[in-house]
Amino acid sequence: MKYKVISSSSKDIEILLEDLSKKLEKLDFTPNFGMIIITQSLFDYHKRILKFLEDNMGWDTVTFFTDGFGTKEGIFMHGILILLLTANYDIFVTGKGPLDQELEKITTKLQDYDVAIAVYPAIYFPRKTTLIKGFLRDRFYWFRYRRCKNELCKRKLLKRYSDWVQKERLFIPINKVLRILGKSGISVGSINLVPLEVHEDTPLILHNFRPIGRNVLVIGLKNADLHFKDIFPERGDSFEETKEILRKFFAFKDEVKVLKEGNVIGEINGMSVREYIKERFQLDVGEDEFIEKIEKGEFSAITPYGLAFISMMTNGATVVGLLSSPLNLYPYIIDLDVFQSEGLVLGEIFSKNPEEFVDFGELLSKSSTFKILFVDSTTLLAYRSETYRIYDFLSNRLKGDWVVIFISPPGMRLSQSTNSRYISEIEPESFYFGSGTSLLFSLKS
Amino acid sequence: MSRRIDSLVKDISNDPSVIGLIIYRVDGTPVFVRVNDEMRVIQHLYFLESQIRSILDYIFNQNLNEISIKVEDIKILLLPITKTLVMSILFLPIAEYRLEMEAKRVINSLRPLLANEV
Repeated sequence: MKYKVISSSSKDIEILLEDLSKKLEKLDFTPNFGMIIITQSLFDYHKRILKFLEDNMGWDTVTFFTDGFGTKEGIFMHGILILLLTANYDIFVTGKGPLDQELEKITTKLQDYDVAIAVYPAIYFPRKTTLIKGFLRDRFYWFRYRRCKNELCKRKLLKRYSDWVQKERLFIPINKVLRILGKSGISVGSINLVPLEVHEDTPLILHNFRPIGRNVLVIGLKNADLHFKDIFPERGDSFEETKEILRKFFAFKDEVKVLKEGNVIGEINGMSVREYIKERFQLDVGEDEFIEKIEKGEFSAITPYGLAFISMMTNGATVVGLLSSPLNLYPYIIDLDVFQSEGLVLGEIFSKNPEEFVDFGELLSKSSTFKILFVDSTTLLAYRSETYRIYDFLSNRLKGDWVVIFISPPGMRLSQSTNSRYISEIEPESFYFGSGTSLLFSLKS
Repeated sequence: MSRRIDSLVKDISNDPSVIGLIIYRVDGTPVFVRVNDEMRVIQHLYFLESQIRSILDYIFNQNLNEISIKVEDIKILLLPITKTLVMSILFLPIAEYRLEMEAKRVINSLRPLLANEV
């Protein structure tokens, strides 16, 4: 497998494209696949950039936006990174049918590959008109929810609302994607994008420069390895043990009772999530303010508060970010049916050392591979310039070529059971936490 | 030398949120200046010049990685480059985590160039 890393970071868009053009001209091989990473800071110029790249690339491409990336030259919060490969691969994109069925179709085609990476919008921020329809739907269900006289009635409504947000693909539950693609028997990485800065019709993911919209794109690859890690303490052997571990590790706020169904939370301690956030954190945002912020690209989908759930299947845990929004019912990017209804509201605490995010131990010392590390981008907000320690660590430890890509916390489905006791194992062999996770993707030369 | 510094700091100084970038020697003497918004820099320069020696003393004696100061709507970020030089960036605090990361990279590239200078 041949590969080449090209990047450019000039603040002047014309100079940046000219630089890329020169670097592409100097290529000493013809790639068959390119992964293009554009920083969110260039979103306003994306049409110009994509036109340029389409004119200059005659091979298969997958493009998406991230918060930053790192190469041997340093960490960049502004620029374009292009990974060019001659690889044994295939790209599959779900169609318009029910997402579960579309993913099942892809699963049957993945068996011949070593690993797969699914790239998709875990939350899709649509245009204003669709957003308003979403608010009306929320009000409609909320009105009926409040009139329910018993829990069964509430659960039925939550289930219907959950089916609707999933059918519309406004929220794609990560564990559901991993569960289905995992049936292929190969390891699957999940690049479940939620942008740090939200714009209309984002996250924008493109296959051959055409937006995939609310679909899941899956890259199947041969001669590749995939590994996962989280930075948290190991999970306990029981619900109580894991609860105690979470309580000790995180800034602890509240032990709560949650009513949930599918991927939607109806209430926390008898309050809507919106009311709960307003009361506990004094945060609230109205519909108009929410829409205005999204239109201006000023809305952030990152929050330091989370609601931790413990899995009934593994005693692992995951955290649902508690974000102030105008919605009364609270849809999320996880199918919550596998979790206990008792939750812990936590404040985010990270490890003291940002390098822990990329410390994959001995896996890093194999020099014959090209390594791509997908790292939780909330590190950028939590550690700010200290995140640079990740670069220092990788520069010292890695012998071969590498890049690091800062994205929404990734998930993973392993092809076989592991001895590791990651707290983020929420279903057997499926991992996701909501922060503090990383993927190491190695391409054999 | 000035041209080489200029090309290295361009990634930060061309950022639309940056209004000025000054490299100070430990005694408070500015050795490199790049200004994007003259009026705004002048407004805050008096404050910076009057405080810079004590801030630099503090950075070097306490071995600090960085200091940031907020003055009105402007933020001033001071980052030591070498044992005798500090880069100060005057900027409007918009997506400042981005600027802080970019600054760190620029410092890394300036270090070998300036390690034996001044």
